[in-house]
Amino acid sequence: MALSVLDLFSVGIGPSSSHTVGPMRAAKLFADGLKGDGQAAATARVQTELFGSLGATGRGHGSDKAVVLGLKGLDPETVDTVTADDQVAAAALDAELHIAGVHRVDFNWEEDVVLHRRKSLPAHPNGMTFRALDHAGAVLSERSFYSIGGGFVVDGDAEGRTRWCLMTPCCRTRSPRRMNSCRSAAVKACPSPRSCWPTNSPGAAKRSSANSCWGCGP
Amino acid sequence: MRECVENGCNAEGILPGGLNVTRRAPSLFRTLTASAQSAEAAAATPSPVQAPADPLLAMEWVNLFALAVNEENAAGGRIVTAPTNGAAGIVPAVLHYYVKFVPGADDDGVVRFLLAAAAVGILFKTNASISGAEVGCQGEVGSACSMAAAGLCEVLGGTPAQVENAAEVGIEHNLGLTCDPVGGLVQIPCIERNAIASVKAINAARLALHGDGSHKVSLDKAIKTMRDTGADMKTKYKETSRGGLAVNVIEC
Repeated sequence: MALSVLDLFSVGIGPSSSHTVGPMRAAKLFADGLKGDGQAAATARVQTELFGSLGATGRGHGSDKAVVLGLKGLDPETVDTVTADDQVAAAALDAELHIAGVHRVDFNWEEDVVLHRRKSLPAHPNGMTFRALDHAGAVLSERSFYSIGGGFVVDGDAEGRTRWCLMTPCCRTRSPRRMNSCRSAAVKACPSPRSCWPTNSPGAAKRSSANSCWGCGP
Repeated sequence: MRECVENGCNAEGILPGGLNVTRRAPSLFRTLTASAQSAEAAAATPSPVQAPADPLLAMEWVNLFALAVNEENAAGGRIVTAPTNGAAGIVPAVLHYYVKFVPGADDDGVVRFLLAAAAVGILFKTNASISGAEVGCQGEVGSACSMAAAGLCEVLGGTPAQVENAAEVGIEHNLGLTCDPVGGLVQIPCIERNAIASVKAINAARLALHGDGSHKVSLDKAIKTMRDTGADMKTKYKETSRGGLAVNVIEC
């Protein structure tokens, strides 16, 4: 993927590109997706779960507020920074949200935006899952996104299945030299390595063969 | 970026979030502007005894620019990622330094600065990470410092080799930097860190210009090292507020 200068220097809102701008963009993508797929009208509730680092520091970084603004269809470049907090407070107080700015749903701040302090999605430390439910509580749409830094957002299913592209069988070794050669092999073989990191999440190990531990990410 | 510095220089108050951090930019702005005005006045009136101008005043202006941007960021204001919000003060601060203090600075230079900085940023993003949650603060402030060093070196007339050297110096002394925001807020150590790193970037550019661009650690190696170091870093030092300053600074 070719990166533009304007991707690196992008206009947004404080305090954090990965924890505020990214989640707002992801939430807007989800809301616009619901509208685009024609599922907005049937949606009765939208729930958000923030994982890993987003969950751990989300409140201080305004991730929870950012997500609400994004679900309302606002984007970081143009959202009114002066009234942003008030808009979120109003949604919480009035217990309602207008998905993508058009479709009204009931909204419960405590229950509908959940920050997991110690749970992580396997593919990246800044994971989030959005879920749209109908009146019966059935799931209409569930999508996960990762906020990978600088305001960039990538798609990925909740278990990060699409993200793993290579596992090399060697990581139970304690020898640093073998670890290094494992890592080099993983990096070489990964079709699009933008970052490779060791994973010690149980989900990832299961998905791979035997003792693998190096995965590639977006 | 210019608007952000302006906003930050004029917005007084206490930052939100509960840490009660006071915004420093406005009063520093007033102090520096006042001393600039009195220096001008002193220069205008001939006198046998003149107090020498403080040679590090420019450095204080750089601090001011960075503080202004990051305080604006912490308050939820409009910001330009460079390459992230947490490190957003560095590129604008060094750019403002160029515009305000380097003779012959012009719009063309500003464009070249931003392009050179972005080129380095793209290297970081593609080959490592610009995410504190993935590699710690090395990826954010480290990358930004490297970007700004490259930008400044370019507009000060550096050759591509010198620009690469400047970028490398900009990251080398940020290796191992952790992300441990107190209270989970992008305030301590983030705001001040941007000021410190901005001065580091200027230093890196100037050091590189004294050489011919040849050096022992290439930018590619340094970026890879940053990535590897980040991979080895414990999660508690990667934007989770579970280690470092975040657990040692007790909020009252």
